[in-house]
Amino acid sequence: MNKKLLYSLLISGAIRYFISISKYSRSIENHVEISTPLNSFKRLKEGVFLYDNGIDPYDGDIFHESPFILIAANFLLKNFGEFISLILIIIDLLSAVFIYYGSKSISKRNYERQQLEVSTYAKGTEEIQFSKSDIDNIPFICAFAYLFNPYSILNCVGQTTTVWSNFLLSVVIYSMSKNMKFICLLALAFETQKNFYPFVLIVPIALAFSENDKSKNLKRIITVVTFASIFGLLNYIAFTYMGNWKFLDSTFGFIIHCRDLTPNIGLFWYFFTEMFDHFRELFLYTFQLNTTILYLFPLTFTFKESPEFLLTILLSLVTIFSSYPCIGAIAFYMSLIPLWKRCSPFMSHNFIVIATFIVTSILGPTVYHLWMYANSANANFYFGVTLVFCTSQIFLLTDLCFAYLKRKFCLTNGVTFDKTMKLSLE
Amino acid sequence: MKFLKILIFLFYFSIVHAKYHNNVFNEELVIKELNNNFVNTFFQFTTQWNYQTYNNDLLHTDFLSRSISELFLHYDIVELHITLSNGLWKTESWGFPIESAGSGGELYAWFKNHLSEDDIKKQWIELSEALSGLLCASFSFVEETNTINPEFSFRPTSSWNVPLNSSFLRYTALPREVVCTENLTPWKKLLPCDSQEGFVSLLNAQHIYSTNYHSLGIHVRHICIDQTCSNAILESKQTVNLVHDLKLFGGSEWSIRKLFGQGLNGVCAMSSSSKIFLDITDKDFEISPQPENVILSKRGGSESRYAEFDVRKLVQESKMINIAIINKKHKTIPITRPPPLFAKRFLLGTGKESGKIVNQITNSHYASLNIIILENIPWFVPIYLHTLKVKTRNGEIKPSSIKYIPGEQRKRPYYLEIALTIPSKTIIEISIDFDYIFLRWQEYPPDANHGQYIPAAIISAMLPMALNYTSAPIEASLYAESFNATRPSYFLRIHTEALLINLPTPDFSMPYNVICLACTVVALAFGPLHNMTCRILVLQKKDETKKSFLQRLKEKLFKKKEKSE
Amino acid sequence: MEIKSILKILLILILSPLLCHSSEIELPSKYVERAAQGHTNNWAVLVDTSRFWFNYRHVANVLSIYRSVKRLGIPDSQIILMVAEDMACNPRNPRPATVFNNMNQQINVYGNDVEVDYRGYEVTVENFVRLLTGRNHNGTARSKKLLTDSGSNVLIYLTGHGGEGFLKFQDSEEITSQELADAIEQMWQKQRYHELFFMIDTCQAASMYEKFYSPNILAVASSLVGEDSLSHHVDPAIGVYIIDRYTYYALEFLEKVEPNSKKTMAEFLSVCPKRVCISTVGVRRDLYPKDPSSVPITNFFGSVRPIEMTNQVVNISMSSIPDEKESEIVEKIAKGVTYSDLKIKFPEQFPSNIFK
Repeated sequence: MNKKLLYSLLISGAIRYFISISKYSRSIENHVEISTPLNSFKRLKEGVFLYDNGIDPYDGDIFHESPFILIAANFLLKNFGEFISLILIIIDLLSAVFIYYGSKSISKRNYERQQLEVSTYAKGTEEIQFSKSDIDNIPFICAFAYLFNPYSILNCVGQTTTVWSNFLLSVVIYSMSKNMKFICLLALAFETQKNFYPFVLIVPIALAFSENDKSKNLKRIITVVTFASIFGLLNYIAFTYMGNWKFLDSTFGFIIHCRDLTPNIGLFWYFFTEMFDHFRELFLYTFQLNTTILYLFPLTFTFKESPEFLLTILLSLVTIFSSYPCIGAIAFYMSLIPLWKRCSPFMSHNFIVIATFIVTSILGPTVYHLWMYANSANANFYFGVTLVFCTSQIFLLTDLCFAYLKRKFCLTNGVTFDKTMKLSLE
Repeated sequence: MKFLKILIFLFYFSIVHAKYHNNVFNEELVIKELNNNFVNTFFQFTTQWNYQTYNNDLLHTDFLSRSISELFLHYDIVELHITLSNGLWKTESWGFPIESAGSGGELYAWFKNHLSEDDIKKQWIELSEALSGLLCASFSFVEETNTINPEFSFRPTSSWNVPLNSSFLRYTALPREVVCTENLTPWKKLLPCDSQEGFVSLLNAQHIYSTNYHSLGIHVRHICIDQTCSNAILESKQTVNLVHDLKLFGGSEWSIRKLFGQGLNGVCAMSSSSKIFLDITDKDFEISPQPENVILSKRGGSESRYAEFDVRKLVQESKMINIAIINKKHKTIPITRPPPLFAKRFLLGTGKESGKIVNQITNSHYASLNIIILENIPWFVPIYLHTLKVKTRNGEIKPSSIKYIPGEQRKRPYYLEIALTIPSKTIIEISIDFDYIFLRWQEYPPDANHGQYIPAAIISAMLPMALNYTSAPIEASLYAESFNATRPSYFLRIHTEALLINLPTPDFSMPYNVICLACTVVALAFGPLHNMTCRILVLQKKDETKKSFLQRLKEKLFKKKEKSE
Repeated sequence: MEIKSILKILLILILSPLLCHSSEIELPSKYVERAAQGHTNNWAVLVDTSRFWFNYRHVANVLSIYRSVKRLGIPDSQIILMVAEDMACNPRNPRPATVFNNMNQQINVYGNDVEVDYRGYEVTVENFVRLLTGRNHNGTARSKKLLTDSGSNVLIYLTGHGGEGFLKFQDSEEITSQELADAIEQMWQKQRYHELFFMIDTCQAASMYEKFYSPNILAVASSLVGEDSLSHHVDPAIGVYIIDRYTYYALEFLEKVEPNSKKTMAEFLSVCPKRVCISTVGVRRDLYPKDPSSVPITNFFGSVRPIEMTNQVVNISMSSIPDEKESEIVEKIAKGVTYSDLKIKFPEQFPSNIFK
């Protein structure tokens, strides 16, 4: 482990710790941008408490975590109740470490891939090629982006279960890059059990595992089937543990049907608050398809030569369009974007995206406070801010995709061309 | 056909009328002065009817209203309790009410033990629909979403041949319910006498609804006489509990005529007794007319005196009966001793994000008391059981038993019952956190900004002494039976205030805008992603004819100018 | 469920002539003849759709009509009263349990004997349309159903805030004139009325009856399309307008009508001329085959009670009523014996065993 990373870990760990013992931690924990019905610590405690007292937590309306989180939280809260925030900080730092090593091997692989094709590249494209030093630089930037992103710090201080999700996702990325198939699929199955949406990541993972294989399709099918069976098995274990299947409706049903309309930073809450009852189902399923499989195959065919890029894009898509998004998940996909540092010259909306991120991050909690506490704003204000926030994320996402395609084009066709010519989609 | 029906009915009535000796009807009025110039009047009309359960006897009623007996026939209920109240009974200064009721409408019923869970579910909804028609109340809003079956707080008051557990009980409260003449009118019609006869004639809407607290009640229960319950008594108690504010009558002296706008014009011809009891414990005033009898009631360590008026006898003397309090002496100022147990309920927290429901219960008795608190919290107020705290000044108390069924959105309410022991001379605070949630815009009531009500909590206790205790014992059918009714302990049920919470509201005029805007943002992702996945990048010649936006704007403006010239 | 109930209704409709024949009681022929020509019963559906205190006048409106039809003989069981807000016992009402038609407290239109069938949140478009068309939920109380038949004259009175082609319910939803016309057509198809008198007091009221296309409807509206219906006057004691002009004058007119009055519908239709109403009262009579001047007002506001006198002896057997002995227990109770004297056991009221 290099020194820079170690210092970053220590400093960001200290930041997390000091905020979590400060008087602000309570209010951070209750912020809607951080805690959603799906990941809030308060609900986790309630679930554990009910479970402990012999009441099925999935019977009520409060608890929507997967049974494994319940079991783990039950164990941790009982035995290490006082150190829970410390444990979460350590897990969060570990995620950063996994991101570091994951992105290191991804960068390495990217560099290797490039070396195979470098002969076909046009002249003067060194600027946008991966360089050897990137193998050391990029991982650190990724880990740094995770460690010092205010979103991930707040998420960690808020003690949400998204910390666990991020950890699982970082394990997925790490094991994918290291070709550790079983661990990768297991971590993904756990994460799917918790958040449902990440199941789409099986596609880039299947692509990645079949990269150097001869019978690619067979390999891909085997991966998907293995994942499905692991996922099925996990649910069955959960069933035997809980004694009934209620948890399925309480977790997946709750996510898919968007039953809780508490404000959050996503698009679902106000949309389904204001939806007419007879159209509710239609829009609900349309939105869920949009989040999961609408873009899955087109994107797969477009980016199939780089499963890691596909993973980044899919992960950000499901985060933006999920029914209960939170800033912790956003922090995670944002930390993967530096992997594609070499695309940055082609990204044209940087300023707009960064500016809107900053403005909405400040404005969001402000108008929320005005609405809920000062009674001087209403739901529309907050909705407007979340709308802009989503738009800026979408800009970031599409901009990155375009940049990737443009870079690919420029690598073979050169970066300089006639002033009268223009790159466009045809 | 109609006239034939009427004929048949008349015939029928004349024959049936002959056997009214299966019925007893009693009227009672209890009057008690409360502290701070308030007067409590409590009416109780009791009908007892002996019937045989094996034949369809429930359809052949005499004194008891057929609408009530039909409920028992159709919905297989053992007992039924309905109260419709407005205002707040201030237990702390007024003492315990004879009959406690939650604000708004409250309804609970025990079903017969041969019914299955699903049957009860269905019967309960239909029963409340029927009652909504019968009493002009909004009981049609009773659904699974606001019904609970409390395990500890309620026990049957019937003497039924099989013990009934809580799975046969259904309880609901509608705290928003208003109570007005339209409820009183059908309530009066359930009595055997016309609204112009007997004690009912005192119940004039204008006077009842200008009181500080008013509560209408109907309590019907079964009393089995033999083992198989083939011979039973159906007992119906219709009650009115009122608290009049004497300030409205200009002074502290009052009379029946002042309180009700008119005197008593007689008794109900069907009644076997019509009595007025006036509480004269430690009171220095004169009564006109002089009571012929004063009852000394010793009960559980407290002593009270009641002036008894037998209206049946008084009627023979004068046509219009008025009981008045005169020559009130203000020599003594009563020191109010609060009742042994009273409660307050309030909300804590600012904003519309999360809050705390607090029940503050005071035990002013010198011994510890066992109490049970029942919370019935609507589905749109999610509570967190792990935040439940029972605090005293010296620390926390651990409840002896907790019964909790978490609520589910749009399905069932949160039901919580806590059994605990309050130490002597202690104030405890039971608090629980809740979240404000956001509903679908069509689920908000038309007056969404009025807020939503959380029903009152119910506190049940067993008091070792009868200080301030005025309720009749369970086996009593008449109020008069509570005199000298010393028992080892006294069952008490009191209601706290209902709460009003203001849920955050969406903008009700926005649906189209919101749908359009959110879909636009989704389209913002769809457009580019569709473009880049379905097309390929190519180098193209720049379209020279395309001019910059500014240029085009300039051109347009200038063109227009030219035209105008 | 729906299909089942429709099938049941069909079955009953098919069987009903048979049943009638088989029943022993034959209706007197005179009576049957008269029923065929005219109506046999009267119903009234009176709806106030406005909530909130400042709409006091709408409640006063609907109660004015309620008072009149009740006074003229329609029993409470045949009046469906829908009131969206409780004005009488509203904390802002300085005179509890009263609603007056005028500031001098001339008539307490609320009265001492009132039965509101749908109140508060129950007053919704859905409930109103269900009521008219008879598609009530299972288990709806009898007093909340419109149990009319082909011999019923029905009075429908609506008041609230409206616009062109719609009437608002409680400020949160609205019924359009087309929906109302369709509901009434459904009533006609199901033979749920004989004649219908439709009254509406709201802004642009005439727009609500324009879409009607069912026969035998006479309609009157407080204002034409493009006009507002105005309120009569403010009561300073309650601080809001107390009644609307049209209904005020309609009540004034109806107060003079007695159950045996010879006044006709034509007279009622000319109530509230423009100089007092300020708005123009709209009347639609093209769907109504009769001449309103030959129709007594009691056809809609009163109630028929066909009574046939007979001198013959009617034989009714009384065998079904059981002979009962006098109850000893009740006798004892009447003498003051209590349940505890009778050794009747009652369950324990408090579960003391849960406290250790």
